[in-house]
Amino acid sequence: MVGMAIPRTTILIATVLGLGGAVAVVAALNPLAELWARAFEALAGPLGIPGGVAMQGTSVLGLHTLQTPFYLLQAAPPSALMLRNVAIVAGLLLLATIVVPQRFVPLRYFLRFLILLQGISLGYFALAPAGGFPYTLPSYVAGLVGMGQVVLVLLPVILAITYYLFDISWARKLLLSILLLGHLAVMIPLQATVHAWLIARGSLLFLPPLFLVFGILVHVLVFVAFYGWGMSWPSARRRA
Amino acid sequence: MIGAILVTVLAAIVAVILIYTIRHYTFTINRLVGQHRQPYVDIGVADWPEVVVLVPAHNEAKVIGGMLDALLEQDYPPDRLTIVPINDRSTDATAAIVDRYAAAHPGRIAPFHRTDGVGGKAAALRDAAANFGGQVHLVFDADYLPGQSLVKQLVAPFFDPEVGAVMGRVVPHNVSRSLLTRLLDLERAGGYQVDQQARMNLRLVPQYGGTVGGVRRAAVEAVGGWSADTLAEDTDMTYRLVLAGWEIVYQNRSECYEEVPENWPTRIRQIMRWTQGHNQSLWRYWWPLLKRPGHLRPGLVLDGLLLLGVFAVGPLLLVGWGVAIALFFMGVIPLHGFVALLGITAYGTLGNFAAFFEVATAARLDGTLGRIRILPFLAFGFLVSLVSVSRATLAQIFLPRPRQPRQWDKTERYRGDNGAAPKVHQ
Repeated sequence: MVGMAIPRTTILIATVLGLGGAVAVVAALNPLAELWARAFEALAGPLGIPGGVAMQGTSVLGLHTLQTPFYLLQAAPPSALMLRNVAIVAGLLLLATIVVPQRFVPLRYFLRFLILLQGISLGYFALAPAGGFPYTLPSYVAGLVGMGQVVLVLLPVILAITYYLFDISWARKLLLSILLLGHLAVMIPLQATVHAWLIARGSLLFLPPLFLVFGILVHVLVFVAFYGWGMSWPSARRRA
Repeated sequence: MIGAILVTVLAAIVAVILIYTIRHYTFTINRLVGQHRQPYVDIGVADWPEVVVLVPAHNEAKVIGGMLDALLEQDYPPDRLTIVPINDRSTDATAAIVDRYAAAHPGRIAPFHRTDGVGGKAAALRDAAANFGGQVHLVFDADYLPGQSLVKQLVAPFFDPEVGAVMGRVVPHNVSRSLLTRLLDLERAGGYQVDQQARMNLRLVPQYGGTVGGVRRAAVEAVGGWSADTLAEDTDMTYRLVLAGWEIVYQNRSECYEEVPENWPTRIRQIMRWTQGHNQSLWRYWWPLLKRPGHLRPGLVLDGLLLLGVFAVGPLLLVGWGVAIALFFMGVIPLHGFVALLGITAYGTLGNFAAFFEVATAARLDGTLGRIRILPFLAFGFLVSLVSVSRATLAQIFLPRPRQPRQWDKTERYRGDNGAAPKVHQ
């Protein structure tokens, strides 16, 4: 039966690359945060995001201080008009999911899940006392970017366990790792900017569905897409 | 106070999900580098036992001919192989097709026609099995297409007197029909190539799946015969055999080709049926298993319990999401600072990724690399499964059970009306 004999050298290299990669990413995070902060500043003007950009320092077990950039702009809670309009749109969208063709059933489920989350958010802001929402836009953006930073650190380790063990040339393995890390390094500040812009323009009403559906889940799906691509590459032995 | 309760509930759910995540990784790594068990699979010449092949069929006119043709071409000694198509009250041409084959192949095909009694596959199997001898009873779904040596491969493990049931590998043949069929192909690969084989390697509980497999007649009789009151007679039989000390064998090389659902509504009905059947077994056997008869190893019991609970994970996950959303709005984060960030992110990435790792590994072991590129689309399949499993479970718990006898709840067939077998491209 087809299985895999993993040479010890492969395990050794995978371990070194996984752990070494994670350490290298940790070392690169603060310079990367500086770049992201500049990207935030560059994007803020064209997108009309006021307030400037700041850095948040998080102590990592007292050994290292992780810098995380975030937008300083504030977002307001939704007005009564906004609540009503979003409720109408959500209701119409819910009705529209009924006519989504059967071959798009997953899309129908996804939209309904999104509408459910938006509905919960609507209910919360309609019923909860004013000012009770526990998140501000700056803290949210800092949290989202911080989560992305942790994903970047974890990636080399996950790849070591789940990808480097396979009989694919090391050049290809490194290429996939660099492409994946590079993609996320570009995507994370853009994702945070889009979220910040939508919440600032809309209101805090949109923060929960954005965080719960378009936050870390997007990182995971990007990772899976790259991983699927990399796993489809032929084995080094077959190519030789 | 409410926050503390919710945090405790969430922690418990996360712990359960983590156990399943670790299980996914363990199985995948084992399948990659472990010692593979496939007992007796290469036996070609032996004193073969008498075998009865049972093919339950209800309105299977589109496919039954292809199945019978494939069985007639088996390299098993014809004088020791009896083919029994079980026509259970079909209203289409199934009965006529079956009788025509029986007339054309006297002594080889012995049709069993049911006209009354409790409906459904389980009851049909119970009635038919009681009417035929043989040492081994193989069971195939009517839409399956066994390869020429499949009967030998499935019978060979029964040379070990401790083996009570054998299961082969199910491979879809209508893969290229839609995105759904491609996703199901990947799911099946993960489930059989990795999951079942790893359980076999680790001497845990490979599941007898009831669609391409067989049972030792004496073992089935020893545990009381087929249950007619279950939606999943295969899972039910698996656990009764395990509890009685019989071994279940999975043969990864014994491939049989099936039609998978080509549209989502059919797929949803299939999942809901499987869920309710599996949950019946969960309800019946979790406690007998937990009590652990002396002959069962703790690892086997743990795996048996986890396998019983697989369809309960969906609703549990939904409850977990609900609690997490409630905590999110309350602003309660169980741990603080970097540890919380690390924990949540690691759980979100590693936890969500485990199933993808298993499926990609399976496809790579199969050597069909191109199909792995659609891996991210499996998220759609997971979403539909999650909702369907949860709906079925809730309906099972809260809706009254129907009083009428069980009926066939069939998966739609897509093959041509002449019942001819399609060419299989692998």
